[in-house]
Amino acid sequence: MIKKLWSWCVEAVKETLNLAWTLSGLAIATLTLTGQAQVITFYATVITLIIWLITIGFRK
Amino acid sequence: MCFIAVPIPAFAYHTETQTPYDITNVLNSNDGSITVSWQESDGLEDNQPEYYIVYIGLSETADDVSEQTKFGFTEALSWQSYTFTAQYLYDELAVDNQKIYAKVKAFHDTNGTTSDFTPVESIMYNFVYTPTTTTSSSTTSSTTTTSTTSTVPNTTTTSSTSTSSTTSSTTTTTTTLPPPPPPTTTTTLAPVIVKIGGEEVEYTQSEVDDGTVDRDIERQGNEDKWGCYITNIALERGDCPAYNDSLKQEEEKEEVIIEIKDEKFTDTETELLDDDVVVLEVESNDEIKDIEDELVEEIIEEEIKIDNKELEEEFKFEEEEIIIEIPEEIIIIIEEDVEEEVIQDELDEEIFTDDTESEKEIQKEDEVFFEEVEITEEQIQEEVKQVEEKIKAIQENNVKELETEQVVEIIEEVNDAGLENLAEVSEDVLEVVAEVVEQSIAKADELTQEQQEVVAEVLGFTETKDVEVLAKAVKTDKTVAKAVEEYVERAVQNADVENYTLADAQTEITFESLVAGDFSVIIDIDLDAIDLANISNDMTQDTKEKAQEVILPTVIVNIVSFVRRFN
Repeated sequence: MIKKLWSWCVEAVKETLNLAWTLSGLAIATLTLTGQAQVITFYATVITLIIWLITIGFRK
Repeated sequence: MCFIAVPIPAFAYHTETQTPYDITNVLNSNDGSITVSWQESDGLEDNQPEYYIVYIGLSETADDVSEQTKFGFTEALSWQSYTFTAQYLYDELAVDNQKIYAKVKAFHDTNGTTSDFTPVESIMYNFVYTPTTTTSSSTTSSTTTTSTTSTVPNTTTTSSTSTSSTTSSTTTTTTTLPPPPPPTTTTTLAPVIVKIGGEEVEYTQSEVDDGTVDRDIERQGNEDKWGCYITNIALERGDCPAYNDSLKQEEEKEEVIIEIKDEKFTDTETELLDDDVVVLEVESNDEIKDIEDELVEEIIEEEIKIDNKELEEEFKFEEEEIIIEIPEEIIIIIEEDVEEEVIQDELDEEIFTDDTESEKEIQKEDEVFFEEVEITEEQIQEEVKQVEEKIKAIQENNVKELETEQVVEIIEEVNDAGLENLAEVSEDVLEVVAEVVEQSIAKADELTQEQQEVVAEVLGFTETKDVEVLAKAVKTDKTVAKAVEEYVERAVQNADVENYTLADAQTEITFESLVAGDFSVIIDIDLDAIDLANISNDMTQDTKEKAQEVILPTVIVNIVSFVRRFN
């Protein structure tokens, strides 16, 4: 179980690194925006990243 | 034996349909027609003719062509005739100084009997006929009645002398009956051969009559001349590109001629002002077409000389203007720089925005730019001093108590001096300026359009509407409120940054808050109040543009990375 969790963490880090440029862009966009657009962008980015990482096994 | 001993009159009763008698074939030298005549039977036959067929030909058999009469037996021994017109003979027999042979046969279709052919009769046809377009053959019938009255010899005898006398009187009456209406016979005419474009083309007579030949000749002519196989009507209608181009060239040539002609006889300035009217007048009179080519060339040369002189005069005049109007060399250098930069601005704006926006924005920029150029460093310092004086004047009072006009006046002074030029002023002054700017946003509802433009300028906005949007955002978004509060200070600090606006201040503040661990700037917002339909209405246009500059590259990079992965 721990091994599986560990391997998933490794995969998640890899995937996140793959998305580094995209995430940095979205982070800057979030900082640039104001008001509702800023909040939605922030939440959309975080939620999408979480879903992306959870579904690593499914997508492979 | 009885028949031999007692001769019987030569009646033809023994035949079913008698053969016509005494056929003749006569040429009418007036019109070139031939008339075939014959004598009808004595009527003593079983089946009198219902009609006759007249045969003619160029051989002795006389069977080249035949025509049926519309009349039959009329009266015993009467004369009948049928006339063949010269057109008919020309068309059907192509007779040319030849003998025409004729024969006749009687028919009785009801009982199915016919006569024998009459003997063949010939006539030398030496009539020179010129063919016409139409022809008809007519038949005339004449009946000759011969009446013979014989008086039986009257004998008178006397006793003394015997005298014998015989009186015989003969009365002959000839009556010519009016001819029946001539039947009209439509015949198939020979084809007409017409040479079109060096080739012989065969047409029917109807095509000649309805003008097909003429149209084909027009078409061939137009094809040779313009390369379009069309009639003149279609040509004038504009169906031929080559012809249309030729017309345009002629019109252009005419316009040139008109201008030259007018300039030669009229004042040049007047002609230039009323150029269109003059062209119309001359075109309507068609006077240009009468000008000879040589005269036109001469006029063109004169026109060129006149134009050259005018250009030289104008050029000299411009030089004089420059010399007179520019007193100092320094100013000349500055103006040249200004013109170059303005042109660059116009080009940039025209590329990235539509025409309407570019015109407005360029005008604004130009105005601002000229104002900036006119301000020298000394003048800037003067403007800054004026700002300080203004600020010192109101320092004694509370900024919140200032009238809207006073706030706008101070902001105008700041705009004149330039926010980035306030780096040398004291912090107290900057604080007051920041408060004034903050106050102007708070009073955005009270601002007129012109006042809003002033406030928008100090905040770096290009859209005046952003002032109202910002005024609303300040009330709901503490990051924006903080940005407005700190904008003046940050703008002065970033004086070397080109086009520093309130959006940049907002981004800096948000980032600083996140770095400081204050995520409330992002998270602490009422999600229920979010309206997806108007998600960006609470952002200024300035912020939107800044966000686009970030999001677009992000999306593009994302797409590129996906493409690379799939490849």
